[in-house]
Amino acid sequence: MAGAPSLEKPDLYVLARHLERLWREDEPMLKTRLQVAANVNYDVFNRYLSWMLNRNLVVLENSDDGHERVVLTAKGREAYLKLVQWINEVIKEELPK
Amino acid sequence: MRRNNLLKIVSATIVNVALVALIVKYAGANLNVLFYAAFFMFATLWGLLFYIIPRLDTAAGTPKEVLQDLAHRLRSGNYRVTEEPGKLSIQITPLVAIKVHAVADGANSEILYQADATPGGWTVLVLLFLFTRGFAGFPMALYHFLKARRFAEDQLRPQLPKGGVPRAKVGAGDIRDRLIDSLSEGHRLAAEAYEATQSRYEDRWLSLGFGAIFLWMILLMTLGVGLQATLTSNPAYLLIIPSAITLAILIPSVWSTRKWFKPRIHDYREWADRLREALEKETAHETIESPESSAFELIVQAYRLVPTWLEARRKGSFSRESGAWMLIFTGAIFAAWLVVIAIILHTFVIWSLVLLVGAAALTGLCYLLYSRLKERANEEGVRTLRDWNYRLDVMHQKMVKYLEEL
Repeated sequence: MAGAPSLEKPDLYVLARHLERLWREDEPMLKTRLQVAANVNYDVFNRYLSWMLNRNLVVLENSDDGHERVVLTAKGREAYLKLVQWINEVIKEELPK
Repeated sequence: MRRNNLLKIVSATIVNVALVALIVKYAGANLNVLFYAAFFMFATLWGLLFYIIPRLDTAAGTPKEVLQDLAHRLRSGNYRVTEEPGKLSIQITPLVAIKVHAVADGANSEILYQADATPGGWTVLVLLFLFTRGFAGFPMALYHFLKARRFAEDQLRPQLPKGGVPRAKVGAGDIRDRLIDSLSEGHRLAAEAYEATQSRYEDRWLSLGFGAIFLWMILLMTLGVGLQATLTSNPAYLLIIPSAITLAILIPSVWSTRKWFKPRIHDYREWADRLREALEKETAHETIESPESSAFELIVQAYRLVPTWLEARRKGSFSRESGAWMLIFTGAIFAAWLVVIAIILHTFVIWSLVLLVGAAALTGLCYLLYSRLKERANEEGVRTLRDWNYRLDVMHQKMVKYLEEL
């Protein structure tokens, strides 16, 4: 991902979309499938992938068929869990009557 | 708690027997009196079925832990669960609900249940009770109780942690559990907003119907009195004029009611359906292929709408400020009848005027009370929106900060 332009500040929802899709997948995921699932264009996808790789949220794996696949790391899973926990806490507080 | 239930049953029986004895003593034992005695008996039993709290079982863990665990398991089974301090409220069918209480019992929790009804269920119960003098209301209440008991035995008991070992805290580390809880809560709020608005829409139709009939009658009486000379030459005016005026008021009212309610009902229903579908997929562990179905985004979008849903639910609920609403309703009816009597007594001008002034004063008072209620409701709405948006902003900031520090 050396050629991908850097991402200053990721959009929370787009990032969560990537992490969620990877979390749902039990096995390494083809880059093109992840891009389609995240509903972003190739350029944007590369920026997000690069951002996630730099922070060890995901790693790339070379498979036998010659395609690169993306895998969610323990840190990436932890990051997605934190986002989900925070949103869960919002509704767990007592609701106004 | 068992002793409490026994106390409730014994005191209800004593009150019941005493009431029946008093009725028979002072009114004699004829068929009419026995009918009313039966009504009191049914009323007591009816209340008792929703008042007693039978014990279900003992579960390992504190009440909070047990209820949280139970709430999550039931949500995973697509039940609509409301968490309240010390208890859960679960909708079993569109009419029947159950309350589950947990009371600390050493290191364990004693689990109890109580038959309950949904807002729609309560409406059916009360109407059946009033219109059949308890004869159909009581079997319906019994049905609620038996349904709640069966649910407690078949669905709740097997879910309770046994053997003195509390279950691991649900959702402590599992993403899916958290998503299920969040989606289920979002779905519950959207569905309740939809049901409350739909019910208000139906009530509005009913009041428009009754209002139109009442207006037509008032106009008929007023014209009958005021235009006697003209009407004797053409009595058809007596029907045509009130009908035309009523329709001229009714048609725009119907149109504006539809215009206001329909898009809201559609919107709430659409959200409830979207969240239910996502919840069902989540509980079935289905992989979502559509790029628009990120559960996280759906929850965040839905939570932005929560204040609107809470407001819709609040407006549809008659339980809050019910006393004030009853007062307004009774005052309005009384004012309308004063007008009717004033028309009937039109030959006694002074009396007629006094009644009309009384009606005007009563209407003014009702309006004052109504505007106070409305003002308070608006303030509450603004406060809810502000509090909720603050919660979401805090959450968003936490998330952004976390990502920056990664």
